[in-house]
Amino acid sequence: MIALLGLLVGIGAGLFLDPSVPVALQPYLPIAVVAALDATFGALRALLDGIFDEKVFVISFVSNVLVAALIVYLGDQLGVGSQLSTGVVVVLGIRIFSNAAAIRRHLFHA
Amino acid sequence: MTRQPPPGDLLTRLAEQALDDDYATVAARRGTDPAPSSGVRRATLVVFCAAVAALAVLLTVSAVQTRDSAGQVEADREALIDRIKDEQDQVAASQEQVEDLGADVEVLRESSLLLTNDVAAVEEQVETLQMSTGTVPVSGPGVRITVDDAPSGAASGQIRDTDLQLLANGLWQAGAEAVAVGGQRLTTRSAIRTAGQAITVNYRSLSPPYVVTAIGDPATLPAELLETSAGQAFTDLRANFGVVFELETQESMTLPGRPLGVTPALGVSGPGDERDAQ
Repeated sequence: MIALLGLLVGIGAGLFLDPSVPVALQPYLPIAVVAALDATFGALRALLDGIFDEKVFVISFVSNVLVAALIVYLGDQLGVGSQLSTGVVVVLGIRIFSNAAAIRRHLFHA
Repeated sequence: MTRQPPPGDLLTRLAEQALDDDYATVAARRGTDPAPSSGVRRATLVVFCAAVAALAVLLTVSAVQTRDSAGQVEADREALIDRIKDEQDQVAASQEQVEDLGADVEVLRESSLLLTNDVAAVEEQVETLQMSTGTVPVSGPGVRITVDDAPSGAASGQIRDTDLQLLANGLWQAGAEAVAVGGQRLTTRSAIRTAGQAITVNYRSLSPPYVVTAIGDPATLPAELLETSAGQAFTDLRANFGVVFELETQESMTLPGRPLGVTPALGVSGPGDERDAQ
């Protein structure tokens, strides 16, 4: 319930305040989104496993986003930003897919 | 609690460890630890809510941003395509211009060729005319005629300017290419006339005997001359008044030129005035 409230507040803030992302941070936004999605799918799976914990979710969410952004930033400084972005997206994508598969197994018992 | 990494390659391990280990760790510890106080629990919930809100903001901003920039990207693309088309048109126009100019060059080259031929023809003509108008020196075979007053000294046996005019015209008529009287080249502006006691040519006084030189074919020129009225007249003069008229052919002789622009009336002597004809 409180999570739904947070979700609505966040969407409302994003839509109505329309914060413009600084140009310097724009390359990190998609990576941060993918990292956040990874944390979210992990949390959903943990919830279905019955081992969900808010503190773990918050930590995993924040650290995922920060680490992903840091890796891409490092890549940019080294001149391999796009390759490292691809690597991060691949790793996080695999995690998202396997978590989604676990959630599917839980929901449909398949 | 430590979990051994499952066997298999990197991707397999990645897929099997998709869930953060922390969830299991915390869940295992929760059984043993005492339950957190309600204050801690509320704070955790607020932070959780903030995290979910942050997630929502991230997603929304990202979506909005992408949608906004899509229009911009599309506009950029259109502008780029327009520019490419413009440049292509320009290249085509330039190509056309190159072809036009190439055709022009071809035409001009042809006309330049024709003009070169014309110039050569005109130069040849100028050379010929310079010879017959007497502006340049001429050498070649020809005849040399010596005319003198009758040895008797009679007034009727004296050579007059009209006689020399007649002889010069006769030589032209006989096919002479260049004529000089007393070393004075006859040009288009020359005159043979009497001034006082003497005969002048090109305003230079001559004294007998008068030597008339003409460039021409030595084989035909004397015979042709004798057939003209001038030749007849001199034959008569010699027969009737004892005038000296001697004609000899020469293999090589040079007549001086008399360039245009010399104004003999002012007494200025040009290079053609030298008496080097003999």
